[in-house]
Amino acid sequence: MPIEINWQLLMPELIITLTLLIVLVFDLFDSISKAILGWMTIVGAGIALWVSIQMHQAGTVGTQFNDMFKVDNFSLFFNIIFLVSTILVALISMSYLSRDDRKQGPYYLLILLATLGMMLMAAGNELIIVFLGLELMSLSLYVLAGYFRDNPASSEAGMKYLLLGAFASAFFLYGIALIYGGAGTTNVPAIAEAITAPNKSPLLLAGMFLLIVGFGFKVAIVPFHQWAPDVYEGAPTTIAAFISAGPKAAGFAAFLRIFMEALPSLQVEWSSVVIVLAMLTMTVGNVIAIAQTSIKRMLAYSSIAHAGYVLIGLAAANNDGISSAMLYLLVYCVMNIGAFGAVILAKTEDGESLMISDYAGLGLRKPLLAMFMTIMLLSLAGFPPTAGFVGKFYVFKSAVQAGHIWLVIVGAINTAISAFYYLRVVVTMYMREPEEELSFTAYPSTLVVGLVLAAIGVLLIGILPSLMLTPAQNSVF
Amino acid sequence: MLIDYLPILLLGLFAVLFAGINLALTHILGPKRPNRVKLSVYESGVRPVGDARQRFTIRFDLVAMLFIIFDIEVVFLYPWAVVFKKFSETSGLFILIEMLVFIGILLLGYIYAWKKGGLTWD
Amino acid sequence: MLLSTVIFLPLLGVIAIALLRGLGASAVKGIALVIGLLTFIVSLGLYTGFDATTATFQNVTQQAWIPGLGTSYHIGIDGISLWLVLLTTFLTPLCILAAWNSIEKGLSGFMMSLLALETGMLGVFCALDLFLFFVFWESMLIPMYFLIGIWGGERRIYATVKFVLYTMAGSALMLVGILALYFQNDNSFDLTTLSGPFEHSHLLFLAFFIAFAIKVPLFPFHTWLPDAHVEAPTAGSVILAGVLLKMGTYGIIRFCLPLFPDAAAEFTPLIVPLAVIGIIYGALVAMVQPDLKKLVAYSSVSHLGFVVLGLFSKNPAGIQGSVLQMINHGLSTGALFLLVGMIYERRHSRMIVDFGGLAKRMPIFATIFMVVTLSSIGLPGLNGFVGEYMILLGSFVQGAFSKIYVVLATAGVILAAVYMLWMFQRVMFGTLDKTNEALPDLNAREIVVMLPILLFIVWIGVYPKPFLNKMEKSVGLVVTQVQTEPAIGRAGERIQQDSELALHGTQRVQHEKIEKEAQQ
Repeated sequence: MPIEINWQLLMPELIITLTLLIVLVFDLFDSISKAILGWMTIVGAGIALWVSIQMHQAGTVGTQFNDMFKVDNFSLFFNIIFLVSTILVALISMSYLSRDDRKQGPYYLLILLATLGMMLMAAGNELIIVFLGLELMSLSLYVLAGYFRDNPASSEAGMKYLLLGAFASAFFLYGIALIYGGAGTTNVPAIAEAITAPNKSPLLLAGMFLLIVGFGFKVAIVPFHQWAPDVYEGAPTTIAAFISAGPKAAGFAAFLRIFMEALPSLQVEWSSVVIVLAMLTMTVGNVIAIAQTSIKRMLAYSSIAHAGYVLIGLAAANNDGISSAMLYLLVYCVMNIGAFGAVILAKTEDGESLMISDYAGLGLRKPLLAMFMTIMLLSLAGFPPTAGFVGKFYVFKSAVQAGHIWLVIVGAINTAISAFYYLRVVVTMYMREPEEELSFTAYPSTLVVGLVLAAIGVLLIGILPSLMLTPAQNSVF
Repeated sequence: MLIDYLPILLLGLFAVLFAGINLALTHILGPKRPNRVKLSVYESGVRPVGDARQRFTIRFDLVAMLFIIFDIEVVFLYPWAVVFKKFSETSGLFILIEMLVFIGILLLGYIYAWKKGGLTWD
Repeated sequence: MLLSTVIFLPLLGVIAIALLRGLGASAVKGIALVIGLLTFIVSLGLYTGFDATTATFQNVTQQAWIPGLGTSYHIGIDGISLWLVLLTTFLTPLCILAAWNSIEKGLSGFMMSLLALETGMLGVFCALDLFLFFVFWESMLIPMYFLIGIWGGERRIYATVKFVLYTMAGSALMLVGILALYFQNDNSFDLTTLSGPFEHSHLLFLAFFIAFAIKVPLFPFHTWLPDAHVEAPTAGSVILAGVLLKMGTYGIIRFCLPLFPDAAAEFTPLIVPLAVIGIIYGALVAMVQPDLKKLVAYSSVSHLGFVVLGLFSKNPAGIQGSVLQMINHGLSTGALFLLVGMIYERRHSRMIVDFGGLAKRMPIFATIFMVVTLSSIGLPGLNGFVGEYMILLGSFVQGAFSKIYVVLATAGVILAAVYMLWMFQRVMFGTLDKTNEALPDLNAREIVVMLPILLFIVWIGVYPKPFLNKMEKSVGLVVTQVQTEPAIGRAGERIQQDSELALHGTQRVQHEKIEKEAQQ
């Protein structure tokens, strides 16, 4: 039995693994400046991104390792999302970390490891591989969330994330076991074949609901969202940005793949659940976000609400639904990392400005910072001509096509609600006077580069959506 | 379908009940004449020194974790060795190199743990 | 191409100001004014090149934009949007000039917002694609939000957030309506290919209408308006009253009436009373306002009630009157806000009781104020009269709603005279307060701002024919579209006859004007 490995299919994953090893080796030498590790991460992720884009354009399709690992435009598009997130997060991290130089190595290592896990999740054609990717990603993130171990809030975030994440993994694994019990296989296409017969055993249904619970925890869907605000608030801001972006996209990648490809015959059952979850997630996330005074908590609740918008695409369960969810995730990752980046930029000599009231008067004092923040917030609120608008519009469109008018009405009303709290930050920046003079530190250049890239991305996709919309539409499996 | 699992459920229930009833019975029926010697931790052994809730250093944790990690990876070698013969005709060299790469990465991780002070004890 | 130039020239100005704002305040103001004037001059090309003999869209540009969403960059104007485009390009440079010295902080931001707003508004009037329309409709909110929120009065934050949330709540529903239309329009957002009848047309009508009614604002959705107007800086108020409110009425005439005629017919008995309540209520509330700006704001509610009334008369005279009245309201209410702004800059008060006897100190100001006041009341010979007369005439001869509404609306005209003239009397005549003795009269810049508006106030009042000519065909098309459904059976015939009668009425008005002009 000869073993044939199509190395080309595995290129993005291999490049990330290689980068990981190189970073690991270079981290061994104390004589080398640790700042170079960040650049290595960016270069490695950049090459992987470029390769993924090339493969996506060429329409590469193929499976590997006994049909366990599937490369197609779907997984490649998600690779693009993950790698863009990784690059942006690495860019905003470099200045954030420089104050404790010694520990930078593991930080970038874990980010790369998490990225690898995400890529495995998106390409997993087998529930076990998805689980493997999920754990690889989650374990790295638990450590990253508690990265500032001298800081009680960060430790609490790490601990909380670990406990609830482990809980979610257990649900997920149990779901896999039950589905295996019902379908007799854990291979995604094989599951679909096994349950085409009108045999909807309770095992399958129970497994499906447990999978929903597991994913619900990972991507922070109401009512499984309680960990998110505490983790986002306590974790280092860069890691909060990372957790809110890539892993959420990875969770949805597996969610979409498993539910659309393995369980299409249970669609009647899961789509009604997903619709209810989407409505709940959007509404709870947005309404609670209104009451927040800390910007990181506000962004945490906003990111919960955004998971709800992505769920609309899944609820639509048609081709446009999948590609709209993908486009939305891409847009969301860029704008959310941008928003967190702007929070990092607003650093005073006393530390980060985490209260919304700290942003008073920034509009005239720090026009660049206020502009970045405003662009990101307007995009999050879904105002044209930003990417957030296009993403939301496309998601709504797919749901109307599927006939879920009420879901779209709830989503549209939620958009109006969300405008209230996003604009409140803008109000504070431009229209209020500061209570005390805060002395802000100078802008670190890498952070500004990251924010400029994010802003360009948000505006470019907003004005010429076809740049990313067409690839997203070509990526439905 | 689900009825097939009934025996498992019954077995589980029986196990729980059996253990529970036995414990309860000994508790109820057994004579209780406690004295100081009987209540000591090791009734016929040495006297305990200090408290059972003793804190021990977190380095044990680290060593335990490192042990488990490398131990599990070694376990992976067994199935590999078993199937090696099956593949040795066609692509033996390939999977040998594959395993060497795997061990190489493991070695790198070991060096990393060493260098970062994971193995030092002070 | 010409139309695209008009729409995006102001955006070019925004970029220019962003790049060159280091050059100082006067450079920023200069760029803004030049761009504003240039846009107006270019937009005049739209007027001269406009073919009044057809109702089809002109200056059409259609470019692939987002094929994946079934949307394209499709713009064009007809006889209705032409006037709103011209009104926008006309008022913007005047606003820039009016804000010349009154902006103390963030001047470049102010000018950028104003120009970005202009692009947004022009886009709304020109878009022939529902997606594009929605993009402009929403993106216009942001600059307006900044204009009120940064450069507004004391309660500016409350006002601006209320303004944005009201509009967004409305547009959220409109978005759903647009999406539902898309799938009934063969997966296209193109307005020109949209033709009914549509499924669920009642719900679709409401989805659009509520969004527009909030913008108009129709009673009872008007509560954001007084706040926004009072807190906005002068230029913001002028744009808000002059153009933004017209986006609502424009939306009704472009979407609600022609796309959903049956639903429009059914909801007419509900909407017309609201319009009339708006007319009377706005007038009554305006009467008791102690604040000049608030008075003008409530008068807007009243005036826009007339416009909605005229639109739902669904005959040529009424709708032509409404479109004309949109322009009239933009001119005269814009002018009133400018005048209030000028007096506020001098006295830092807008309370009517603080003034009195100003006519002696400021004769030029008083004269201009008088003309604008009379125009707002609807004095024959000035613009307000023509519009209101046509609206009332069109509504009266149309049979779809009770004539009692028209009679009540006419009472609104009388009430307007009461509150406007009473206000004028209290501000201009009587004893001059000592604190007001030193108030200087209008300077040259302010006169330059006011003169063009006065010119049009008199022109439309005396000779409205060129204005009505250009819109006639387009309005006629809307009328035929809105009447296709009920024009079955006898009731339909009657409407047809009535509207012909109304059309004769229009021509009669025009004849009267011409005669009057001949006499003069």
